[in-house]
Amino acid sequence: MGSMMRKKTQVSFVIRDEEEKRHKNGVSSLQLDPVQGRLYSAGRDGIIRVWQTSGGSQDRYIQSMEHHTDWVNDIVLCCGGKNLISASSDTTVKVWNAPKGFCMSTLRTHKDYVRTLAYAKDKEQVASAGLDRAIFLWDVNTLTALTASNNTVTTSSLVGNKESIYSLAMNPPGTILVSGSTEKVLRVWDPRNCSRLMKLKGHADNVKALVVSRDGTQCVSGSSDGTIKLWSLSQQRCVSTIRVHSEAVWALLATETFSHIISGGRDRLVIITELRNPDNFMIVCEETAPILKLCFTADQQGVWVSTSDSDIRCWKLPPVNTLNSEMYNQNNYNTNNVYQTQPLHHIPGGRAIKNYTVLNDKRHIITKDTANNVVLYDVLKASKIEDLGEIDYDEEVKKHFKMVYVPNWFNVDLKTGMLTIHLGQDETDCFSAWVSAKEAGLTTENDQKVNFGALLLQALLEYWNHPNRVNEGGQKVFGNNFFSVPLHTPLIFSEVGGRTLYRLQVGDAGGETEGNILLETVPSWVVDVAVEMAAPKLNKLPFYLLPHSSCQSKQDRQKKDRLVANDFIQCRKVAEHVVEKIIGGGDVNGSSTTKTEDSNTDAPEEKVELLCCDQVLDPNMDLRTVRHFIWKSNVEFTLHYRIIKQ
Amino acid sequence: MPLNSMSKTRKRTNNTKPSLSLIRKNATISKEGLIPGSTKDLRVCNENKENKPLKRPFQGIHLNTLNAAKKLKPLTEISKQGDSTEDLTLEILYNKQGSPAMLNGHHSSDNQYGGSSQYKTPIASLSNLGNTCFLNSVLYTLRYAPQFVHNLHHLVSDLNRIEQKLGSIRLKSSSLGRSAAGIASSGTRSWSSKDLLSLGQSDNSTGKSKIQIATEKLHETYLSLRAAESKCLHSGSNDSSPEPYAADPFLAALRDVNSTFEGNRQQDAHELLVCILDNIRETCRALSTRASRLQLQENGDSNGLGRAQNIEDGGKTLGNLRKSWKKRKEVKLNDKRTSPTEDRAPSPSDPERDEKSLPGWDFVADDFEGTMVVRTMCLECETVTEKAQAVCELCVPVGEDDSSEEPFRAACLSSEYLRDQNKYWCERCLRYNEARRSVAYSRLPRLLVLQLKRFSGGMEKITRHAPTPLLMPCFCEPCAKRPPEHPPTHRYILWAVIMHLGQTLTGGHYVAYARDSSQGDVKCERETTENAAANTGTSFMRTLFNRPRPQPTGCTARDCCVPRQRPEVGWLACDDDLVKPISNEEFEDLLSAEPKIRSPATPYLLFYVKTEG
Repeated sequence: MGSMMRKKTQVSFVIRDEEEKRHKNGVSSLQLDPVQGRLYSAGRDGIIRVWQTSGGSQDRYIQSMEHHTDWVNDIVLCCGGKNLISASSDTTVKVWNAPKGFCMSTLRTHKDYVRTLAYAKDKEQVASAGLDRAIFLWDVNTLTALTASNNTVTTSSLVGNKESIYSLAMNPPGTILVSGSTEKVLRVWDPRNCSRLMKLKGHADNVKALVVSRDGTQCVSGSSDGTIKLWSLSQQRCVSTIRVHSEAVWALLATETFSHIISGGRDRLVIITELRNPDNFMIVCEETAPILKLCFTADQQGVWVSTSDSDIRCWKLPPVNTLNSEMYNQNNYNTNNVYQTQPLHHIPGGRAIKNYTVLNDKRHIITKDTANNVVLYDVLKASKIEDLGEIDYDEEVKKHFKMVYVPNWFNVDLKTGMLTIHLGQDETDCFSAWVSAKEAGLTTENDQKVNFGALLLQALLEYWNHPNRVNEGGQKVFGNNFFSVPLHTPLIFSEVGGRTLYRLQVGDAGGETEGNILLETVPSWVVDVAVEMAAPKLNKLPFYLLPHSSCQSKQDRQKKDRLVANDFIQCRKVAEHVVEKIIGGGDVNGSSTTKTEDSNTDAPEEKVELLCCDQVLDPNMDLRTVRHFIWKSNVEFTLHYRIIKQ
Repeated sequence: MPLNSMSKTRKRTNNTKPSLSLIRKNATISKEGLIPGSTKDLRVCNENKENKPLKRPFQGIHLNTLNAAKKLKPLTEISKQGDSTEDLTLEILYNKQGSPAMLNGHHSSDNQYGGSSQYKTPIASLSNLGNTCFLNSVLYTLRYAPQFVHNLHHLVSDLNRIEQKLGSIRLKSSSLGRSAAGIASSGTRSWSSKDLLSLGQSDNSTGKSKIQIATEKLHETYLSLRAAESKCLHSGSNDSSPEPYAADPFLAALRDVNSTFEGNRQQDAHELLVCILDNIRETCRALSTRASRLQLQENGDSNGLGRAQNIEDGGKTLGNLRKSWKKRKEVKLNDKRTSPTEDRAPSPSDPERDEKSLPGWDFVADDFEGTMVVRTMCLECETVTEKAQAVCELCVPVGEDDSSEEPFRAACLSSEYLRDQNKYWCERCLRYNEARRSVAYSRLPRLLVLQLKRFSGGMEKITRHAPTPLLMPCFCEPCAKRPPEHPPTHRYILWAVIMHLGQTLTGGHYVAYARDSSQGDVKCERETTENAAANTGTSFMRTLFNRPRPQPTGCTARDCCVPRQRPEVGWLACDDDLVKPISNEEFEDLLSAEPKIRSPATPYLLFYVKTEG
């Protein structure tokens, strides 16, 4: 039954600048196009960026390749730089036109985060694997030939992995494929016939990095157990164990001749080691964060290093013959003894948002990033309001405190280092926040109420030319009447807690293709409100209304009056009700206050005051705020009234 | 005994090697227990002398445990063993070298297990008050818990002593010409109101909390059991066995503390154990607070300064008290973890002094509490988050695999991956990632309690056999981390088992099996400090039970409430008012996968004691 039911669809969007030139989070993978002199970097902010490697220290940024909605974990550049394949935690593998930077197709075969890719250059074959334990083999030429009409692709899968795969490697001719997993063993396949060749035991923890020699007879593995192992695949055994790192090894790079291995990992050191004589090693450099990926420069004299910080640096490698000198390896971890202390090149990264606070109005968010920069955002308008600089975050949050209660209607996600907002998963959650339009600063008119979720969905889907758009005087109604969101805002539809279904920019929803995909993707409750302009349900709040103990009353008024009102109405309205319906004919006797001159023009709050838990209420306060801050319970919400004058 | 059954016995003993090592261990314990301390040895002899007319049946039982000696020594020689301590030790030494072949024939005087009805060394028993076997099984178990009753004794006597002293100071201060108002504020009422603060619910008349009363009644129960044994022994009547004792004063006090135990229903023995230990812990805290107050009083403090400090002190303890032992909050290791002893109200005494001899030493924390460490590692950033938690007993699932050498080690030291739909929220990566979560124990207690998970979620009781090793290597982190070629530094020896019969926890029947190890020989840290106490707190009990004063250097627990020492070492089957010794073989048979005598009882709570080396 469960499998037949379609999973709930979640609507999300990202608040960001139109162009994000810098990585906002760690950089998982690097690929160099030596011909074009371009470096491709896969960001944990979900963006693949392209950089110019040649030239001085001027702006190296060329372009962004945006389509993933989660960490990009690995990339391979294939077809001589024409295409790029990427793997992401959004569970997809994407095929890109590398020079132009657009996504050609999306492969949705994996069921969990796709963690790693391997590339057999001679055969233009790519393998992908991840936490779903599956390995798929892709023919790149087939992938790049996929079109909207010809969109089926056959893939062979390598089965037998029992646990999540964190690393893969193939040799260029594509005769050997090795996988590393939390199973702590290496599994070796022949990708030509998908047959299992062997299982190599020896590591004590996850295997996160692998390289295979060109001839497929040797393999080097890097593990979370802190060791690097050289394996003979022909002898099916571990030849040597290299212990140069003090912590987990996450990245490996072998020289062309497989004579030396360059490694990096959690200890932030890049180390070059002679494979046949592991005593000959040298610390190339010390990075500022754990190392995620290593990639040769075009001349192989240097190495590009990416880390879990957003910076990318290029470091000069020592000539391999100098490793024999005893100079640098006297003390294994003496980091004063590193070969290079200044990088050749530096591509500075941006800042990731690490903390956020949703303000009580459930509309504004204050964030703090890795450089302690504080920023104020407006979720409703999907935009940044103010960059507050390096100020005290907690103080700023305190400063913005308002005694107002609005129900939650969205969640915040910082996994990409940017603000991703997930709207409530159904109409109840998403449309829970009704507010006065005047108080939200959207209009000066009194008595107009708006729903945050509805307004935002209307703005996010403003450009979608849906056939059911309502007509008003022959004119289709688009968007809401108050504001629009930035056109570049990425809009994401995904299964709740899982796979991405569709991503587009708000401004692109007008296209025919996009419109058709949206028709299949957007849940009906969103269409009802955002396209057909149906008003979401109001939230009713039940409460009891009683005369205050200090106020004598008629016997029949002693029993509890159970009332229901919209949760956002102000106490003034309740006072009005008391004046009109309860006091009514004015035959209430024995009010504790003395009679003053008659004044029919008085506002209701001047005749009656409301109390909750013996606290006199501000007539401007709304009922849900009273319940949240004063009554502090969801049951038996009770208000008292006291007559001030008649 | 028929020949064929003899050969069966031999066959079995050959198959059960671990049991042999245990028997040797037994012997070692008893040997160590008997050699030091001449007064005690003397007493052993005396007891044996008193039993002389009963030599035959006594020997029969004695042989159960010292079975190996039987073939080495003619019976006549054994019959003399009561005359000399040396003989006894000698015998045990023989026993230590006993070969499997010597084990047969030990059933000579037993029919089925525990069948020796003529057994005459008195062992006190508890009568069933109506579905109170859960209570009795726990009381028996704790009675034979190494040093437990001894520590309980000191707690209760310290408490009495300190209360008396506080009382006398009160009297003194009120007679020093204070005004009436002064008396009222510094007199009994004001103190008792403060006691009320520090002890939770309090009985207004005495200032004692219900918890404290329950602890005292527990001590009284053990005192009564011991008294019954002594009375029987001194009566001279040879075949009298002690009248079963009705523990209803304790039960009533317990019900005052915890209403769960009201009504004549069967209860979970484990719940009871937790409750008793909780009570003792809180009594320790109360005592510790009072001791520090006494210290202040004795330091001649009469100005407001010390008073204020006192109140502060009480408040702090109240805070501690609220933290129930069971629901102790998880503490991140990164923050400096407060150890159970640091947790107590600070004692102003000389820090050099051994804390174990201080009044209010929380021996429950020391003896029963281990530290569980849960580590979670995100598989992306590989940051390890560590959380330490005090645990007082380990729950062990009844495993599928019966063959494991160390069944509890594998069950307690677990490692699992959080993945698929159950990923881990990594606070560093700010997302759900895969993670590995492992459970280890940085410290395991001296007295390790294992609860077999036979009842889970209203399901039918799992009656599957679970191996119960008599001896197991320790699996605390320092031990588990040692390379395989090095044996662990600690080991655990089984000293009691509570068995359960029946299908539900709140029904059925409980029987306790406890190793009757001699306890009189415990090294008491209090021997020197106890002299002063002998004149005050405990003396009333002594007069009450018409008992001679102990040797000035002796530990007062020895003659008060700890079980009467018996020369025999073996297991006692404690089934309400029926307490009978059984041989090691019989006991092991009960625990084996294929017992000769089938029983519907299944081990539910296992009690192990730690030994070094």
